[in-house]
Amino acid sequence: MNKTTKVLLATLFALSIAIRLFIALQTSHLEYEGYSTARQIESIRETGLPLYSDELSYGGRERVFSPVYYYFLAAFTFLMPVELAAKIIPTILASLIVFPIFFLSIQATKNEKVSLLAAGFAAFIPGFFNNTINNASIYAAVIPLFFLTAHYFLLTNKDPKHVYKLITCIVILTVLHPTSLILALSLLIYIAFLKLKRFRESSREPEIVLFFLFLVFWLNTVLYKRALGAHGAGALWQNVPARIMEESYTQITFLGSIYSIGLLPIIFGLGAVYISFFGKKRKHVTLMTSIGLTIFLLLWFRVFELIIGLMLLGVTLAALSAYFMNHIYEYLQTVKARQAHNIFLIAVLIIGVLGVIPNVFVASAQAGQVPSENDVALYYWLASNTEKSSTVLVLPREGSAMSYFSNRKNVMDDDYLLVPNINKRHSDILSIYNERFVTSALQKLNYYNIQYIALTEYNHEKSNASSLMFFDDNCIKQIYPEGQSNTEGFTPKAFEVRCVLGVPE
Amino acid sequence: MKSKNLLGKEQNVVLMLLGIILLVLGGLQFISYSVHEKAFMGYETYYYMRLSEQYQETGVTNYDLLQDRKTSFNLFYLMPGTSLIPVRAAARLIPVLMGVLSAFLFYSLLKTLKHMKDERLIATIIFVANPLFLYVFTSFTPLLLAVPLGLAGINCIFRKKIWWAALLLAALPLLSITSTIIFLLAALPASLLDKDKKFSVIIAFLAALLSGIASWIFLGFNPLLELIPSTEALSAVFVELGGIKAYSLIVIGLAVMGILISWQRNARSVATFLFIATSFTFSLFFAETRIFVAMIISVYAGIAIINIINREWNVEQVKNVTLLLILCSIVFSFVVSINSAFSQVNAEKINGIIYLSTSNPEDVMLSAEENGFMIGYLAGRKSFVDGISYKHSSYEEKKEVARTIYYSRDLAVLKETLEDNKINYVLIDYWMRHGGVWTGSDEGVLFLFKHADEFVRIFSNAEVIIYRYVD
Repeated sequence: MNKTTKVLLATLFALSIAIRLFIALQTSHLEYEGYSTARQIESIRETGLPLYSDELSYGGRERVFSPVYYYFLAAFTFLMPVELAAKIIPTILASLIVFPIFFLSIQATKNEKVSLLAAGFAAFIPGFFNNTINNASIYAAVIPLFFLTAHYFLLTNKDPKHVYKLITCIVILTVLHPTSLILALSLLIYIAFLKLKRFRESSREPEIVLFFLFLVFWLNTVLYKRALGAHGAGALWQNVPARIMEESYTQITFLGSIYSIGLLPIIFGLGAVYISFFGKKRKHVTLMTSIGLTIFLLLWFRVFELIIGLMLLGVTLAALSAYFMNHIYEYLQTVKARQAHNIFLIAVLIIGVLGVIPNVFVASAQAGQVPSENDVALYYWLASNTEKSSTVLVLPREGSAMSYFSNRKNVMDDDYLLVPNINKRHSDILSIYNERFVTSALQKLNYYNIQYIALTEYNHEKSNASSLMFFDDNCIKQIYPEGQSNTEGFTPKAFEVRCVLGVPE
Repeated sequence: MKSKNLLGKEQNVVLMLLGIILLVLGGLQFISYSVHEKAFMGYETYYYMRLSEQYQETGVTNYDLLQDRKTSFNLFYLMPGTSLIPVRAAARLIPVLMGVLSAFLFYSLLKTLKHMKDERLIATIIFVANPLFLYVFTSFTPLLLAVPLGLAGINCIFRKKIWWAALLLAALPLLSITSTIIFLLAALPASLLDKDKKFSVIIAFLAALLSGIASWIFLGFNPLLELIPSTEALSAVFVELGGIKAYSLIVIGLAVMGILISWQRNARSVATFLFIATSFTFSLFFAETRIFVAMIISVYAGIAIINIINREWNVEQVKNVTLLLILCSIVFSFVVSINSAFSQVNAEKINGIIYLSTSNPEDVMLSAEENGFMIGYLAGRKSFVDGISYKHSSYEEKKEVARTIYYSRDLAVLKETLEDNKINYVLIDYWMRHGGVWTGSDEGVLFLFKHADEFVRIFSNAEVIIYRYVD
């Protein structure tokens, strides 16, 4: 690698960090999803242990997860506050994606220019970029590691000295997140492709795949034993409520999916697959195709939410696009028009940059989807004006944020594993806000042992509800804001549940 | 590829293995006894103990007097019934002995089939470390006899002892019709591969068929009742995913590897692979046949492990870690199945159920289907639904009635439903209260049980709450 490439790669990495941080630091809070992680980090900082027994989530319950990511983030909270660590560290981790994609592309093309472009695609692909900013998402760490593992897998084939680096990556990825299962399945499909396409046999590849498969199987069955026992095969779907899963697929249109991945990576990535199948055989492209195919199949079976699949698919296509770009680049070098190959790269760069700019604005707008100052004020008010053991009803997405700020029990948040009858709970919570009659509302409120109902600005934006239809001063009393609010527009409200159905007080 | 001598002197290893099986199975029975003298592993144990005792007391074999319904004749009821030891002692002793015998017969079958020494030893180890082996040989069910009988029968076919094979396989339909189907299917590819055995297989087929027909006509054996699949079976296929009578995923994975290796070695017997696929599919619906499929799966898993051991690896450490991971996974599924088995052995639950025996003999109890067998044996009372109700025509109707009661919030409807179905007691266990039926403490009928005067809480401990309906 020449010096200019090194500088450009470092610049790309720095640019990714800078833009991500610029967007994340626009607001002092995290996105709603980030507070689940923030609560874990805080627990580790205070007690040394993550929240395996969480008294606030779902009114108190046991949880199953791998704590590695939380411990990693918690280590930085000795240098900075929790919320800041949850903004900065995942930003750096997500920006690291440029390195594995660059090295994977170099392996496939030996062309540093197109590899830099592919790394740029990966860093700024809308799906990955927008969903790993300001939400402390574990995918910020998982996806770069996923592709680094793929890179070392291919490298080990050529040079056995990388085997220990590969094993280290495999072990970290496996203990970090079940996404390792996708890579293990992809490698299995890759081995099948090698057989089908009659590649030169390598004894090292099946060995590593075997090791990886058994490690992934064993570690995940041990880590998620309780979830597997409780949900059976349904644990693969992470017990996500059917409605949330359905919405994750229906809310994104076909054009939306293309936008999430980016037009250039789709065109170039699919071009690479075509060439690989009908032209020159390349292990790199075969591996990336296997990863893409696995993700596509898992999306087909709706194993994870669409946006997670699109993140992985987008980065895979970015890695594949280098091969097709190089193909065009090499072809243009042979045509009569001089500099055509460089013009092609400049054109791709310009189109790429033009695509990135509007997305930065979109991401910036999305980063504003954090709890508003008024909502946070309500959460703090609940912290000082309600009993410590009380349960507060908020929308499921707000659950972790409410518990983080107010230290009160939520009825539902965004970790669904081990929760029985999740679909009923989810639909009950959503329906309470739309209830017209106090008796039917009380049935559900009593059932979930809810003492307070919070109607936040976020909820107001979603449902346009300004108050509860079933609210009355006897059973459901408004307690926040205290006295009449003078501000115009909507103000967050809190209600106290004072009745128990069938047992008059 | 030359096989390494992995496990030392064969005879010693086999003896040691049988000793370990004896210790493990005996130890599990001892632990369950120490929990409660009436605690047995596996819900079905209580059902078969009750019917064996019923035969001992009344001589009736094809009718369930307590539940007032037809049942199929089974040779198994006669075995402890006519023996000198009481049924309760037989239910602890026979599983251990049959477990050791079956492991030995499985091993000697592999020897007869000329599997290599290491292959047959590892296959036997995988078979006995299988959750299914543990389940079958800790419970008291007809499979205890069907497994060794079938193994001995197949052994005789391969050793060309035709009349012994016919005699042993003729007894098999009287124990389990589904097991007979699997065993005869297993004999088919063998007869296709080796023309010499065709005659033995035909004789065995005829013997099993004739004995089945004869017992249908003369003994009240009902093959149709036996062939009703369990609706629950399909949802609990793997032990790692919460199944009890279930396969271990790791062994299945290894078996797939073993099948691919056998295929590559030119052992391309389409009939064998078709049989494996058919029997595996059959076992998805009939959980009791899984133990037989587990035997075949163990053989192929053994082939896979031997291949991993004998293969030259580029990095020896990776090989060692991979083998360690396989071992850990097998041990893990074994431990998970022991945990599941012991979750059924619970002194507080047994005490709660025994308390029901203070009720009137004609009272009907409502509880989870799994508890029905225990209620029948420990309290001697009729349960509204039990684990075998799915084989009877009124099952869907009864399930609907139970659902109506569990989720009822209307006292009038609840009273009417209870009276129509003559249900006087409702037994609620921990599982039912924590996700099995309800998730909240006041959900459905639990609210009425707490607040309505018509229901009296007559017993409660950490595991069980019993409500009595007072008319």
